[in-house]
Amino acid sequence: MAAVPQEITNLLIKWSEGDAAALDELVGLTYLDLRRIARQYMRRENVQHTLQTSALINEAYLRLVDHDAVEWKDRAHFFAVSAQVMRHILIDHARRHRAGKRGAGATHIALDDGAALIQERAAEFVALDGALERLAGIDARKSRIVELRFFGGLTVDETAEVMKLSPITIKREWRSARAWLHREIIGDANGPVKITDPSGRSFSLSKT
Amino acid sequence: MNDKGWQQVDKVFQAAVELDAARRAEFLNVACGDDQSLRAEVESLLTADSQSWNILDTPVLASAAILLDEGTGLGPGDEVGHYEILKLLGKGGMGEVYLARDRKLNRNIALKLLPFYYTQNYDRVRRFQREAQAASALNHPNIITIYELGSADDRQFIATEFIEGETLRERVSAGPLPQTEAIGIAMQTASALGTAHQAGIVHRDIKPENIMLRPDGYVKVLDFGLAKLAEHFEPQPQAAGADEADISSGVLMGTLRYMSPEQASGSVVDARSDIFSLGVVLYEMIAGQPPFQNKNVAQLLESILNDEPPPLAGFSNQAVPGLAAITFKALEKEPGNRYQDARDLLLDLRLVKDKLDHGAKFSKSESGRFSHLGSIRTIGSAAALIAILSVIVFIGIALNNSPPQTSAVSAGDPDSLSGGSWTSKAPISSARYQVEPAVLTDRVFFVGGWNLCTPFANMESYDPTLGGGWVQHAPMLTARGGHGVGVLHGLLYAVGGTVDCGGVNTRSVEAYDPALNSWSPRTSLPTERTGHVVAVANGRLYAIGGQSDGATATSLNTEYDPALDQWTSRAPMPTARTASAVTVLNEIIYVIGGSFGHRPLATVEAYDSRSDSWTIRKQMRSPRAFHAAAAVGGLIYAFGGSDSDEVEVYDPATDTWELAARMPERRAQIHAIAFEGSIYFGGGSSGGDYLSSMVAFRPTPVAKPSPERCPTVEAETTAPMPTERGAMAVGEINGLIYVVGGYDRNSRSLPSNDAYDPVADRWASKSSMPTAREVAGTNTAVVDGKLYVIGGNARGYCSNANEAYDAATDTWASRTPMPTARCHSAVVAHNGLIYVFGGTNTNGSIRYSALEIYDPSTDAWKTGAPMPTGRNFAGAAVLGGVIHVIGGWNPALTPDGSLDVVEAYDPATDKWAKRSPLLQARFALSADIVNGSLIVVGGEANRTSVTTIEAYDPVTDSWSTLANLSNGRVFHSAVALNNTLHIFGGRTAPYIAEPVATTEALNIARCPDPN
Repeated sequence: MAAVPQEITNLLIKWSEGDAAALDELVGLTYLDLRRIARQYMRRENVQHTLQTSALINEAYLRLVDHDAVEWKDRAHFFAVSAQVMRHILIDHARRHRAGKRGAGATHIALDDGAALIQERAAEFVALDGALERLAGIDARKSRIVELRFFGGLTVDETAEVMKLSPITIKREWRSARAWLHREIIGDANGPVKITDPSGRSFSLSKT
Repeated sequence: MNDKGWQQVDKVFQAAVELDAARRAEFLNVACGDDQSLRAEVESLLTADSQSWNILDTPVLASAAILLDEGTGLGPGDEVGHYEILKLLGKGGMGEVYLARDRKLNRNIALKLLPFYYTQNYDRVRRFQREAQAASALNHPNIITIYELGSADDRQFIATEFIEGETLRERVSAGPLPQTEAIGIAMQTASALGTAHQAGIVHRDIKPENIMLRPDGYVKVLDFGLAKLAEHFEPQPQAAGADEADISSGVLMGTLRYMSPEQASGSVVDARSDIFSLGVVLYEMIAGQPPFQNKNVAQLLESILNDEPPPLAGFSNQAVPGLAAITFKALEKEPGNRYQDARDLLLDLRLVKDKLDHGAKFSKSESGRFSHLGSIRTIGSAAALIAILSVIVFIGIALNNSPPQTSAVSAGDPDSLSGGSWTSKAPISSARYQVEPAVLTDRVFFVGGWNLCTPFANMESYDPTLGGGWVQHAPMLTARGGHGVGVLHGLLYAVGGTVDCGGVNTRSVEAYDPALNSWSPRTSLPTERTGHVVAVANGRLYAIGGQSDGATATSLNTEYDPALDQWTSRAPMPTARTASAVTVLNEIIYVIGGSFGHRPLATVEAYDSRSDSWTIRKQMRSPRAFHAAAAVGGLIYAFGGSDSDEVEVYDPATDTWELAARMPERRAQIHAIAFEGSIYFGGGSSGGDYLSSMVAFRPTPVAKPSPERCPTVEAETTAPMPTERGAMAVGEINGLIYVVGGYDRNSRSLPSNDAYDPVADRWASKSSMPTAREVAGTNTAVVDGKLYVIGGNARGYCSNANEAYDAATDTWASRTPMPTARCHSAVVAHNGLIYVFGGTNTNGSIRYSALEIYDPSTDAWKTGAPMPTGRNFAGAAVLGGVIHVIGGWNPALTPDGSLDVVEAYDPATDKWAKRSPLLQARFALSADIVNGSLIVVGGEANRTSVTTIEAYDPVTDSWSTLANLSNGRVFHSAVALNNTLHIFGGRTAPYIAEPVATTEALNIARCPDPN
């Protein structure tokens, strides 16, 4: 069930005019479409190739929005909404994979490495989402920039446009946010991490 | 921390991060003053900033792909390989099933596409293919026929017979089945299971969804071999009281309901687990509901493990006497109390069915499996004899044309290129000629052949190491002689030949799987062939020459691709001929002698499949047809034929033929096979008699200059590194050797960079690498005075960092990161480009095959042909413009993961070729070119360090052991400078975490020039 371009366009305009409720509606409306487009888009690409979120969202924009009615600025807004939606989509999927895992321990049916990879990736995304939430608590601007650049795939300039900041500030803020999140998730403890364990024995490597 | 605190940390960080390392410290002194906690905060952020981070540094869709992938969304008209999608038939945990049209064969098929993320792991795909391949060999009217296993657009698919009808699920959801029908369905399913179990295949997912009912009453069991893959993937049952509502729990419950207790509890399952599942299906067909009805997973598990199913008598549909007992016997909790064999279940069901049908229409037991062939049938009529006239005439002419006698060279003559000794072995089961030999599972096999007018289907094998008698194997589906055989990927292929003494030739190709002891048909040759030769090179099988239609010899060269099950024409042989001999040496196929127009030939032509080209080699001393050839020790021997007892030997290095030891008797119509230094012959004809004897020829070792003497190695201890470490990048720039990164005694990744001056035998410290990491596996990429360190394990995460060290300015620069983040790849430079081979991912679950190529001049990456063998911890070195990737680790391929594989990549053609394996398998080795020789040092295998140093001779494609290290080294690094291989650090033994600082220099003298 595709969202009606006109409806999305109107909401975008409302939101850019300061109507906060329009954002929630936008997220709800675009969620299914973006998820469908994301899946199709991903399948079209070979795994070896780089997958660009911004290209995907651009395509969604072309499909979902009535272009005559929307100015470039609203395109940026659409990207901003889409970044948020992409975050929801990915984290929803990650949580579902995590949910699958917690049950598995109880039945002793071993997961193989492929499933382990999915689990690990899901865990990383869930952790990133949590850390981003915490970052929003102390520095909302940085959290938003990460959402736009990472989940939305926006360039520095596009992020600057949406955030109404200079590109140089976006760059600085991004670097700082990245360091904060990395420290938050990977941690800086000296506990060893197990990695690439030849012959199944311990070849553990510490994080710092 | 409060907001104000964070703002201050952020401000200091943002200022500090813009400064270089030296000025940072100064700045922090000023900015933080005495505030230690501020300084610690900022420093920890600076550390985090310097580290690469897989998730945030990768486009989000690349890392989230596996989380999102839930289907293909193919629609009508879309194409997958040569199949055109017609419509979606269904979707399940194991992917999607489409009705599709096979455009080649113009028939409808069912196309099952596996989920995208299942196929992201090479090992898993291999396991899946192995399993499905075995299942595809099952030939039973109640088992769905698998047409093809393939892949298109990175997606694995299975093409199967398309069955019209409904699934048993649809039938049982409408209520209980009439008992005769239920019994009939159970019988057909049991029959299918019986055959699969006999072939060693357990279904693991017998449920109504996997049982198709055709309108004509036939039952087809689906998805043999797939469930094993699925059980690792489907969302697993949840713990009791788990509150997460799993979206897939419907699917899960559906599968769990039919699981045996041992399967549901995660224990090892065997055929008896399928019998339990069939019991559940049978119960449901009779009762209209499954034995265990619980609504939640925990209760269902509990019931499967402990509860007795409710008695069938309780259901309105009164069960036939005996049927309930059969069902409950299949449903016994303890596997030992169930039917042990699906065929026993089938027999009991048949008894009940016969009772139901009111008549003792006992069908004759189907036990009459054919007793073995191998008995010699008496010759048929005179007409039959005449019918094989062509063959006889052929032999006669060959006899008359036997070459003039030449002086013999006695066996073991010390001056001859090669003498050798002959031994008699146990004879084959019957006298025959044109019996084809092959080596499979370390045994010598003889396949098919003729005795006058009788073609043989039988196949027998002999263990040359242990001796003992002959073992009979499953006979070919088609009896034949004049065929060829070849072994490819563990299967033995029989190709073409003559099937009837009236001279009927065949296109038929069949493959024997030793694991299943059974033959299955493969795509036929494009045309009938007999008298051709069959050889295997570079992973393909070739049928060359022979007669195609009528008696005229051809120059056809037909290539078989086992993955596609497809034949393709290749460059034809220059000289058309039949009755040739063939052997393969260093992946080159030599076709030797043969006949054209009933005239024997001395012609020798060599085919290189990599370039699809032929070269003409020195002719044999005597023309031969119906003779044999085999290669041992880098030399090719041609034996007998045309009623000859002569042996000639060919040295490909010098392109010369010489006479060698004579055969004990004249022998023609033979083929030979080499195994562990001996050459075996069985059967054939001699002076008009057919033989059953088998003999083995063992050439005396060649009196060529011994390679062990040259080059020579002298080791000396050199100045230790300033730091203990292993798994470093190394590179020589302007006479200095830079040793960068690696790991320390606490297994931490290091950033440090030390330069070694081999003239002064002294170390100096240089500026550190931005991303601390270890790069186990060769990393010796120097281009234009810069050492590139690419990928590696950066403090617990596999990195895609690409950093270049400029020795002239002692500075580092970040370059475009590698497309695939990976650890433990092999990285070498050649002609200004940097090649990154294989490696692994952060959780060590993938052994990459990928080749990515970096061009420093454009700062851009591209992809090359992937390595045939995925692996990490490999060595690599460039010899003669070709990059050799040596050894390495892949736990899916060998018990301890260590590999002896050597594969050569030619950057000019973007093609791979196999090379002779290392004498000693190893990983975490070092390799480089010293004085023109490719030298391999140390490494690990079987949990011990390897001390041997091996050298590779590209002319003979052979490895020799040069010397031993005084201490083994694992995860060390090495780089060659002039005639010396400098070896640094690593561990001296496995299981010791601490790397050493010691270094040594191996001086490797140049081999004397042969002139």
